[in-house]
Amino acid sequence: MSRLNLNFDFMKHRKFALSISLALVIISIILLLTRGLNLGIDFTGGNVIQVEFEERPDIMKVREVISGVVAREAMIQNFGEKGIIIRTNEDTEESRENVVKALHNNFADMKVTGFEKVGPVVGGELRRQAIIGVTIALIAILIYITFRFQFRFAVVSVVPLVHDVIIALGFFSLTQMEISSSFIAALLTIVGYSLNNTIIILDRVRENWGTLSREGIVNLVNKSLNQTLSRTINTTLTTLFPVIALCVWGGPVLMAFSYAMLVGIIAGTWSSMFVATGLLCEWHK
Amino acid sequence: MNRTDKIRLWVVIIVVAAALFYVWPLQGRLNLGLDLKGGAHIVLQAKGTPESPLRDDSIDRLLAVLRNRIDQYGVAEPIIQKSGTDRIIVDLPGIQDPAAALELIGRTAQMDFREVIDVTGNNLPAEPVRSNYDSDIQFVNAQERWKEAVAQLSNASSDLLARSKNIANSIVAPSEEAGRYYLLGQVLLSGKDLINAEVAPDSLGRMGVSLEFNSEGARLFENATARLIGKQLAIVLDNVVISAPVVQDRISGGRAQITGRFTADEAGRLAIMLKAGALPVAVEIAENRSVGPSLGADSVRQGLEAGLFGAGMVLVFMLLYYQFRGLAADVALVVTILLIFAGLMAFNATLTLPGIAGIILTLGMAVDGNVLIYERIREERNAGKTPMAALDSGFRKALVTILDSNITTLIAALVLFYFGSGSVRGFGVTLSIGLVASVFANVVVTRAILQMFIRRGGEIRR
Repeated sequence: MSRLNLNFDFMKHRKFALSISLALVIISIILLLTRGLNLGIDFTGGNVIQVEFEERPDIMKVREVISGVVAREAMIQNFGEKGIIIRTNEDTEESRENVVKALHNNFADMKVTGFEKVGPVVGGELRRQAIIGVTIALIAILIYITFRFQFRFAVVSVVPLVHDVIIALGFFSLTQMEISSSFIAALLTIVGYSLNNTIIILDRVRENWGTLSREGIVNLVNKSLNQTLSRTINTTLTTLFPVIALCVWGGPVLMAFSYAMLVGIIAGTWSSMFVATGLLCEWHK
Repeated sequence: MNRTDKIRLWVVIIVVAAALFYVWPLQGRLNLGLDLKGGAHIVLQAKGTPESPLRDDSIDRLLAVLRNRIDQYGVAEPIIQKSGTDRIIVDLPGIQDPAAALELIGRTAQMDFREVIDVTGNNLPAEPVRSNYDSDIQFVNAQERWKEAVAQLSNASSDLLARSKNIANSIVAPSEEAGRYYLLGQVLLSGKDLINAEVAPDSLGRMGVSLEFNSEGARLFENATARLIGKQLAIVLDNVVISAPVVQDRISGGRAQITGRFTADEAGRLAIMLKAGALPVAVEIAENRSVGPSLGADSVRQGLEAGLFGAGMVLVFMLLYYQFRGLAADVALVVTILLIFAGLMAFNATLTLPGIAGIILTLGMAVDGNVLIYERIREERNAGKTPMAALDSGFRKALVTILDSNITTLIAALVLFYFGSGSVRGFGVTLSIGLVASVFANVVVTRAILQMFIRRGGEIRR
């Protein structure tokens, strides 16, 4: 692959690629508005209790036991091999104690392996922090790129980031996987990764900028994409390897984080190659 | 070798040797987060009340009392610190019973002795359960009787409340068992006059706490018992009556014993709380995360497994695709990992589960620098340059790109560090350290290796 002189006409289908991205973004936004996100207790406040059994009972049985002591509906899931994880929106200590007591009375072999409680104040603060954090990161990046490249490049490299974040959120809305505070870390890493890709391609565009009047923007972008293609493929692979390892072996605690990264990397690679460059072509016509 | 090459090689050797020396032995020296080693992370929010409003020094006094309690409870390496103006973070690594610890630090433990002026009648019976009755009719009747008792109790307690308004400094407090309310007179003696509290079973073998007062307390206690012979004296903890014995005799000498419905553990905690003193202001538990040691160990094992598999795939891929240069990249990757651990130790950073994910992710992104450099070198070779010239301009041209792309990611990582808290913050730290380490490894380590290789007549294929 690296020995070939590649010359794919990526930008020929840029309108089609941009439409796909636009459609995915719109679908994601509709999902977010209709299904919403499954926010974990980090954001909403509430109790999470992790327990382990010698022999795991049926979830329905556990639900029956708990329904007597929890006023609102509890979410109960299998966790690991022998464990169960219970989530309620009630954020008092008593609520947790009642659940543990009820489980103890019904399952002698039950052991509490961990619990979390987040009060409503902390949850609200985290939500605010997350929004401020992501916004500040995007603005700081925009300023840096404007300073290093030019404003037009900054805009076409931030649009894909918004694209990636919305699609990752849409994926979580679709699958209803739980979002915890580490999801913010995943989102910002996606931003960093996708930007990394975009900058490397735009860096090449800038290097080839001298031939703009001779070749036209479409050929220039195509040439830059082809020159960086093997790098794009190799880096995507080497980043996907560890992320796939995390998805498969990382364990239940890191599950949501790992899948967010997986979706983000795929979306990020796509948006760097087609969205950022496609927009640049359209803008420059 | 020219001068720059020599300097570069020496820098690599010194940095790697220093990092190795610094990191070894890894065991036990890396700070693991509570999510990995197990323990409790508790955030307390101070709440002012009309009786004890929040003052400037409230939090500092709160800290002192909490330190005292936790020290006496015996937790290894607790972290107790202020957060903002009205919060305290308590980290208790490795504790076995988080619920007990929570009670120990969350409870105000204000103890008072008061005279019992009046008390509502009998204890409330337990609420009827259907399975104890033969027929529905009996069950319904029992429920009716129970509801009546509840209504009576509520009337009686309202009466007490009304009377309490006319008696200065009196309060109405429930008993520990459900269904009894006491009308209590003013405070005769409080926990601040205590000098010692210890677990001690009474003559019947029930668990209790023996108290020892200072001279002022001893005098107050003697006066109170002298006046109340034949009457009840209530021991009130956080506005709940834990026992109300009838005073038999005047008690001098400043010693007293309280018995309630304690287990040995509960009595032990009560003794600690009384000795360490009451919290100066009430607190509310704003956040509480506890991870058992086994769950933490599982997370470490799974994180390590995923990391090893991920790193293995990256190493093999680079070796297959780039051959000798891939080997150089692999060496650089190992140096990156070494530097990340050295960096974590140097900054005294705490490794959390998202932090491990951050390191694993860095592995994939770290070789990006190598890929960029190698693809550049290939282009330069294709343009007809000699291996040495291609190497030189390849590194030079790739450097700008590497810096640009890593600085933007670093911006995101630093934002995580500043705005995140807890484990997210830990992720920001590991990501930042990883970025800096990987740039060094890409640009300096890889180059030193390739430079040596080419000087000895190595070829870089087109």
